[in-house]
Amino acid sequence: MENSKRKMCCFRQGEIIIVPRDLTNKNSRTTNYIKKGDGIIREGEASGHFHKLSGGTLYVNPRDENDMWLDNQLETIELTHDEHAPIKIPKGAWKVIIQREYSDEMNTYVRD
Amino acid sequence: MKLTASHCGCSKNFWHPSIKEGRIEVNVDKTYNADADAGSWNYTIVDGTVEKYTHQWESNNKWYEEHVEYGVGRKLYEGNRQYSCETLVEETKYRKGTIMSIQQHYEKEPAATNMQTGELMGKQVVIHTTRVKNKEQYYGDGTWKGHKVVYENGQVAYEYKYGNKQLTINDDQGRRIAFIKGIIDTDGLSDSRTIIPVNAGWNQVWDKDDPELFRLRARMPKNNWRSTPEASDIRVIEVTIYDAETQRVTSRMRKENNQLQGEVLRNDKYFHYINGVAISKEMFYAKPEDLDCNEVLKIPNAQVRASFIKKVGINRIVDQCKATLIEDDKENDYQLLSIQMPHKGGEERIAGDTEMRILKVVCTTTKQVYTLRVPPTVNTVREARDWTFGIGDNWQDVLRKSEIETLEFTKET
Repeated sequence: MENSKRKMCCFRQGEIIIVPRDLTNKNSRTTNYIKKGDGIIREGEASGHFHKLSGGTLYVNPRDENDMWLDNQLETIELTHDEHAPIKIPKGAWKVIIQREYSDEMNTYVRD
Repeated sequence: MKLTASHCGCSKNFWHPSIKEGRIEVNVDKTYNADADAGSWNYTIVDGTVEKYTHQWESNNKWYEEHVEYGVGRKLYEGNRQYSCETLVEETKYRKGTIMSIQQHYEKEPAATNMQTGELMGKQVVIHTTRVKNKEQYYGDGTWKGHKVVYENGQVAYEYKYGNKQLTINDDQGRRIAFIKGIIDTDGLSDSRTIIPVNAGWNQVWDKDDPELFRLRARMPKNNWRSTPEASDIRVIEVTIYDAETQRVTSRMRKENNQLQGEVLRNDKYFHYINGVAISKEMFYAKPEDLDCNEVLKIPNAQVRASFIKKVGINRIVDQCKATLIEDDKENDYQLLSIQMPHKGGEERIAGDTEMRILKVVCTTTKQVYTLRVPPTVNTVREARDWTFGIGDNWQDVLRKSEIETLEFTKET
């Protein structure tokens, strides 16, 4: 089993992680996800700055705003944020993961 | 008064210090945001500050009520909407002025959010386009090299040349109305305009209510990051705004890496920031030794927590909390720390774990120190880091630990 483990190539901007969608949990269904037209993945509560995509289509789970995936048909699109360097994301289907934090009551997503 | 918030949470986008006394009611319904939990906020404002608030909301078919009175405490009820909320879920007591009370205040207080995105300039400095006679553009080597804006009466509004790191803007009477100072290392930057002033065509901001006005906006150049920022890349901009008649400073701000820093004056009111986070004056000037390190680590918002870590100092936190080092990854600037949780009993409720494990990380761009709490079962930096990225073997984990060895980032910023 150890040999079947993979090292995943992905991107990270602050608390946002972008990984190839086909490598994520296979049980996740995305058929009911809705388009998020503004391309904003997350807005900082404290700073008001946001992680924003320059293109592609962002889909969000209507039951969980932190559950998103990205469909990019363009050669590359850019993920920008006021405090972080931009990241170029290649063509493909990507899972958007929000970095999480442990709590003895309930795990939470990192908020900035 | 009806307030409409867009592009943000329902408690943002309005500025309550302009409302000195009274109540603000904010209602959220699904017509505004289908993802939002329906609910309402009721703020009571005394002398420009939120004194208390009540928040009611529905989530997963349960109805919640939260009552917060600053300096007194917070109560959270859960129940059935029909029968009101009878079950007390959580009661937190805090003293006025402690970090936790500020945290509560910060999270719910709408004032804290409006200034974050740097609208200081936009609201205050306007140049009447109808009074502008001409705008001379300078070019050289096929590129834009600056411009000069002159009023109809011959007074110069400002003259900006490529590479300038400061700029004074005058009104049509020749009186100074703004001063902008930008400091940046331009070496290797693709776009080295250190200041992008008024009516540079691509950056003019029209006033919605008066199309003959455009606002002055000074901002950091975009899209000119290096792949590996150095300390000298920390971008700083300072803006001062004057009352034209008296030449008195009415507003002043400093931004580092697009984060407001220090004492900010806006319309003669002072606000206080650490790394873009608005905190109270008392907290801003508090001595690090007067702040409780355990409280710092419990602040829920990572950015607010990082700001207080900066103020208090990570070494002091490690010392005061008697943290032990489990692993030190010097190459990637990660540390895994363990802190024994005291069982105080009584007022402070500490559930579950008797040990807190903390992953100390340093932001690759801003070099700011963050701490992230990780499960007490993780034993290595790598394991802790991967867990925060959603790797685990529980049903809710995004990536299966049994299938994924680790994450390697193509680019990390």
